[in-house]
Amino acid sequence: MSEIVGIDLGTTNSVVAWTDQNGRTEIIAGPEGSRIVPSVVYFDPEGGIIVGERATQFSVIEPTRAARLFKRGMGLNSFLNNGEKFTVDGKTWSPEELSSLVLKKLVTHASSHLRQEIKRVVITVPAYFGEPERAATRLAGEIAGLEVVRILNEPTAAAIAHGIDQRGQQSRMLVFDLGGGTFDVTVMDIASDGGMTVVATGGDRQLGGADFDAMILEQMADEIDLKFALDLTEDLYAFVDARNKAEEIKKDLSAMQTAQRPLTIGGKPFMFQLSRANFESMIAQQIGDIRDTVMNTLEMAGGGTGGIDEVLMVGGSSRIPIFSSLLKEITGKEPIFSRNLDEDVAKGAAILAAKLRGDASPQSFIDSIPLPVDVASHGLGVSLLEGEKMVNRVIIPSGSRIPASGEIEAFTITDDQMQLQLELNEGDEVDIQFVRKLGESLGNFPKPRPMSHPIRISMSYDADQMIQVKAFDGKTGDFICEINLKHETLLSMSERDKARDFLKGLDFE
Amino acid sequence: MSESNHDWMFVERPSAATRVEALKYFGVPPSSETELATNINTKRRRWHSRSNGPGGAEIAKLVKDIVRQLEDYLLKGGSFPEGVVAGSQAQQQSRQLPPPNFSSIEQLLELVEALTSRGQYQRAIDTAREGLNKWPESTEVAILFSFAVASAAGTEFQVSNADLNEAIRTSQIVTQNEPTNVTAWWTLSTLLAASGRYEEILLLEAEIVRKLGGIPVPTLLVIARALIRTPDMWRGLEMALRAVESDPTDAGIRLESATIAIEAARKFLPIDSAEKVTDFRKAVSVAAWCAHGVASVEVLVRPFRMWAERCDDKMFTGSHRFRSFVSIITLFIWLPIHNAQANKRLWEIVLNGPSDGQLEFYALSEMKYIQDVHAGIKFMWLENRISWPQKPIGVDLN
Ligand SMILES: Nc1ncnc2c1ncn2[C@@H]1O[C@H](COP(=O)(O)OP(=O)(O)OP(=O)(O)O)[C@@H](O)[C@H]1O
Ligand SMILES: [Mg+2]
Repeated sequence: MSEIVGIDLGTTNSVVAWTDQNGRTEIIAGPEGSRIVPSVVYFDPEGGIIVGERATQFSVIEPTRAARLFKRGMGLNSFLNNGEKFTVDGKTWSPEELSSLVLKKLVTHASSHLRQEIKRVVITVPAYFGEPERAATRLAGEIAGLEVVRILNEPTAAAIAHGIDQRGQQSRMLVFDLGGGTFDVTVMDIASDGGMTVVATGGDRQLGGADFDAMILEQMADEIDLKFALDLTEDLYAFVDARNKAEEIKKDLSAMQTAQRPLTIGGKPFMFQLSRANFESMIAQQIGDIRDTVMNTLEMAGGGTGGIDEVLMVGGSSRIPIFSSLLKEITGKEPIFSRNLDEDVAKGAAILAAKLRGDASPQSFIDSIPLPVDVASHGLGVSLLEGEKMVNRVIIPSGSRIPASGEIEAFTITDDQMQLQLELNEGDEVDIQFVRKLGESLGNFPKPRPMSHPIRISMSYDADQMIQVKAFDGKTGDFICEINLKHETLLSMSERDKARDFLKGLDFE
Repeated sequence: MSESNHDWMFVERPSAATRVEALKYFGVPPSSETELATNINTKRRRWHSRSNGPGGAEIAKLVKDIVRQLEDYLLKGGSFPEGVVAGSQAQQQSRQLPPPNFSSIEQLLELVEALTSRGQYQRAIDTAREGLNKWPESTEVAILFSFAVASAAGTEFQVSNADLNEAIRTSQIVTQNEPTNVTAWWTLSTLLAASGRYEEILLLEAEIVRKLGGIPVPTLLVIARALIRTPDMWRGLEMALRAVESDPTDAGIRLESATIAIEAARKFLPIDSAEKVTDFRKAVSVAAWCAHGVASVEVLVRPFRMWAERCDDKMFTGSHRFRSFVSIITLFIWLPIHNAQANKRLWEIVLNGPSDGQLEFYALSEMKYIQDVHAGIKFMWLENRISWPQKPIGVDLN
């Protein structure tokens, strides 16, 4: 059986882990000894590509040649603030390609550590990711020449890692995962055998530690403007240096009441200071948003704020003290921090990988834990005309256990109707404005139909996260058209193959 | 509680800048004022959740922000927020205006740009002209001046003919001296379009291709829009399609191209012949193709698609089925099959307008998309009235 490793592909940091047949998990360190690889890619002017810690260092010297935070752009066109594509030396790099470079680096570490070529992986994604983002993550794996055995939700992974130490109790857990770029809240039920079922998820794909850094950076720029009448954003090096210092200050404030760092601007030194209270009022809006998301998710889960037995804190930014107070205030429970906060997600992915590999020894716990139950994090529906208004009619609501399926009846809209157009949407809202179209298809009736002739629409969502919608003539059962959504992304097949070949020939560390 | 009691939750903007309207925005009444804080919370959370949903995040974020500002106003003694009322064009500008005098070209650029972005077009034009007098040799300033006029011409602001002509002359000189300057070509074509000098734009097209080897997308769109207003309309639509093809992932190009195609489609309204049905459908299908994949643009095109699909439909007077669409498959493309027994086509009913004893028209005029599509279109029956008639009192259409 070939090996499978677990990968936490984070917005700021990525980690690879491996679990052996006896259920012992290790985080695989790179040759420099670091267990955590920053998700940063640097393109040196000679054409070399550097990923990880060294890329972070180069990015200070040549910020425009370094890509970071690209996970935020997965499934979208761009991850840069100005909406532009990341381009270096005339070549544009998509978020999927950049992610594949990080994956490749992690897998290279794992291969040399385990002394065999690793071809299969489990990759984690935020629970709140929609279909296009998940497909983009799979694609990143494929570009790196890997088989993505499973896409696993990050909170579930964290709960698996946490759960192996405390099995035996039935409980409802809230996982609060605030990382570098994304925010996830998940309520899940843990059965006494360790089986996990997600009850509700909520989150924000565009909220994380990087946003807090940006707020501090803004404050720095304001003070510099006031004191020296200089524009920090005009001085690229001072700016990048300040951005790193902003992050350091933020981290310091999780342990201390005030923090400071010296900055240099226009050749002048400047000591920037910040208190925890000021930091908290700076991010008041985000705190409010996070509170709203937690409340909405609890409401969706049902059972109120009192129904939570455990609160598990995951992600580097959950170390900011205000968030544990917030959760304690809402749930009445003291939040739990795992000892290896930054490694739990990868660890959970590795445990699942070992389970999927199917070679665990019967004495190990791996054999006895059930596979986690996946649920749809967003609803899936089709566009229908109701009266004169186009609406999204949900067929598989969010929270449905996967595999899921459903069926509805619709009607032709006019006499002599020959064709119909099927549109598949992601989202639970009725209002079409607030859903995302995933696909469409056009089909013919075998012969023209009168008005109000029935049409049967069925939808299925299988364990490989493949979605299929089919329309049939409601009277005769004749097939009309279908939508198959598998790995549809912004890159076409040929682009993907080109990217993969290109990557093979790269000289990179 | 019934669904309609929750309508206030989905209202995006208050309808007037008053306390009463702000309260109504949060469902007071029907709720009592003691429930205000709870209602604000519920509405904020609802829109917060939408802002993280798979679609429509921009709108939802905007509404969430309005909710927050109105919360400040109602509960924290702030003043009524600016620019949130429905239909108001007021745009908030936080950037400070740079000082009105300039000693370098750079300062001039900054000032003119700031004035333009605030909608102070005449001042922007006059300031740029001052610059032109000061640096008569500078191409950069010449472009700036014609650019300022062109930007104003693209809005509702009325640019004087003198300004337009001067700007056209200036940019003609620039395009002669610097034939590879992309902005200059855009400016010149925009200015010619604003002056209605369409024949010259057609000549320009060939010239740009000669000088640049192709037409940059923004200029292509200006020319496409100009062509819509000439007998060469279909060529304009072709250009809009070309613009989209140049970068299918660019939502901005899709929006611009789709609005060009809609403008073209509106030229065939009201539909009064079978040929116009075909032409209208052709133009709408271009709009639909341009809008494809960008939800906010698709919403714009949707009423036109619906009318294109249904306008040639036959209405069977007296049939209950007409009112009984419950849930019906969308966006079908309907191929008419001729029926000798047919009643009137929908477009004929709309064209003929209300007449005594004819209920079909009222039934149709209740359909919002039909009115949306025909906004601003003149009908004989509309005469001097601006609004469509209401259905006669006491008539039940069901
Ligand atoms: N002590 C701390 N206090 C505050 N923030 C911290 C602390 N330690 C780390 N962080 C922040 O946590 C973030 C990184 O967390 P993590 O590694 O969990 O994110 P990630 O997995 O890369 O991102 P995501 O899960 O969102 O994709 C960074 O923004 C970092 O600044
Ligand atoms: Mg993470």
